[in-house]
Amino acid sequence: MEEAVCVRNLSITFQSASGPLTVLSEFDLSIKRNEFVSLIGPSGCGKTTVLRCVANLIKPSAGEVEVNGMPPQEAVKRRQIGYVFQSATLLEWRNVLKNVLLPLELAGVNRKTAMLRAQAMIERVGLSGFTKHYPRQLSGGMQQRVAIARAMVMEPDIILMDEPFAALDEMTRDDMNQWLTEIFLATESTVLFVTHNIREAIQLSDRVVVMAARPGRIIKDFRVDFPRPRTGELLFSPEFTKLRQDAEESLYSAAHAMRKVAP
Amino acid sequence: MSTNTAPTKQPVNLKKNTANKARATLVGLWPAVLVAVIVVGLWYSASNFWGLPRYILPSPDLIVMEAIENPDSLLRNGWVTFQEALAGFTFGVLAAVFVALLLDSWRFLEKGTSPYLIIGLNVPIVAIAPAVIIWFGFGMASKIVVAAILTFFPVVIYTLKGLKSADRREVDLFSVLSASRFQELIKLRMPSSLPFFFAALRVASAASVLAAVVAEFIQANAGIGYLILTAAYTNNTPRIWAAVAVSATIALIFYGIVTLVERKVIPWHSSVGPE
Repeated sequence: MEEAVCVRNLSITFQSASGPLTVLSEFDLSIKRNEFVSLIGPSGCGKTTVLRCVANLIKPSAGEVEVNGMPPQEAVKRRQIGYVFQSATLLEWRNVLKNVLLPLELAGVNRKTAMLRAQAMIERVGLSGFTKHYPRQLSGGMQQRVAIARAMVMEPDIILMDEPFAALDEMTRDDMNQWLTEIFLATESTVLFVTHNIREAIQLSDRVVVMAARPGRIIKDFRVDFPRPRTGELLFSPEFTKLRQDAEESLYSAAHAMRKVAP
Repeated sequence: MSTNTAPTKQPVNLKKNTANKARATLVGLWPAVLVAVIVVGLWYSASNFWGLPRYILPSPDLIVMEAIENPDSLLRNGWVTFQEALAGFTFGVLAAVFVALLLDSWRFLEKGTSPYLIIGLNVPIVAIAPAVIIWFGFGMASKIVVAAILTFFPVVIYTLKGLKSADRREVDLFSVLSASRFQELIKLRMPSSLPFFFAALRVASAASVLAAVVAEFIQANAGIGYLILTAAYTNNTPRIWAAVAVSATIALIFYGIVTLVERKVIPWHSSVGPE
């Protein structure tokens, strides 16, 4: 079984006040095991909707989604999916350790094992000194690292990330991207990453998938072959810049196309 | 580790911070003390030098003298009211939590009853105190029931609201983590409801004392309400005001206990601990 995520012919239609709204139409995407794929596109193009479908948070109107060869519902039940939201979404009444323990508690992992796993995970995200801190005592970057630790503590096969660093400043975001690359290289996980930021997408991914809106569809699928970690001079190299420009162009044509369609 | 993001806030210990806060509160109290001194001073002058008649407002020293000379009846009746209010508050809260959890898990029942809960909150429930006294007699039982009713409505309404206050993304999180409905209730929706629950408790703590006193006005043989009524018959205004002070003290004790428990239970909430 080669594919971690397989989306075929997916359509999503919401009932809105002004009639049915097609968010995604005949959307196809397949992601290999241990691949890092970014979805970029203009706001409202349905990037998040794709993630939500994979995580069984919404049901497709048509088409199908398979995660590890099974329906999303089953994959969620077997705890094969980790989800990182745009905001850290930490439970404010739990300290860092207890937030990371949450998935283990819900899965009924025994207390001792759970503690060891949570502590190891917290160490991996570099927050060992902060286990007793409450979320509001942490900076935005640290909160998001706790959220990532929580998403990864069950060692899910697939991690879905919905603009996890969107709220962070540029410098912190850079740090987080470096850090995420290190984490990704050290695991067998498959990542589907939603972002607005082209540079971030290229820096992190094996593939950058550009979407257009109304209805949401894929207009371009770039391979990114630079060796990891992608730091320093590479980010200013002609190859990187070229790829960035290409992606930018298709993103703008996507936004432009949307404006033409829009009433 | 390539990141060294600094925390925006000092890594403070929440407990220690509570102690600091208590000290800050004490220091911050002096404007309130000053206001009290000025008000009592003006009041004393009005009674003793500017001709404010005693039957309208007795001089503060007369009220203090009354309390010192007849502490027995104040304490005895205050104790009765205290017990009535406490028992009513306790029963009211227990019933409200039970009903809130029931309605929360049974949407049909919630839809069916929510308009009546709002009515219950807004109708002056003390108006039914005479009926309750007919049902439960002149003793403490009827006062406890009135206090319980007045406690019940705010607590059930706010707790129910709190149980639904969890962020949509937090609900999504629990769904992705494959949490059962029971786990979601225990680990997400109940903790989310606690700030609402405590806000309601603070309202109810004052309401339960009010309920007990008002019910005593109607028909009783003990309690602060009874004491005020008998003092009014004999125009003993210092005694009335001493009794008012006792009832206010009882309500403040309730409020203080609720606030203390709140600080212990939800130190993480922004209504409590560090900013």
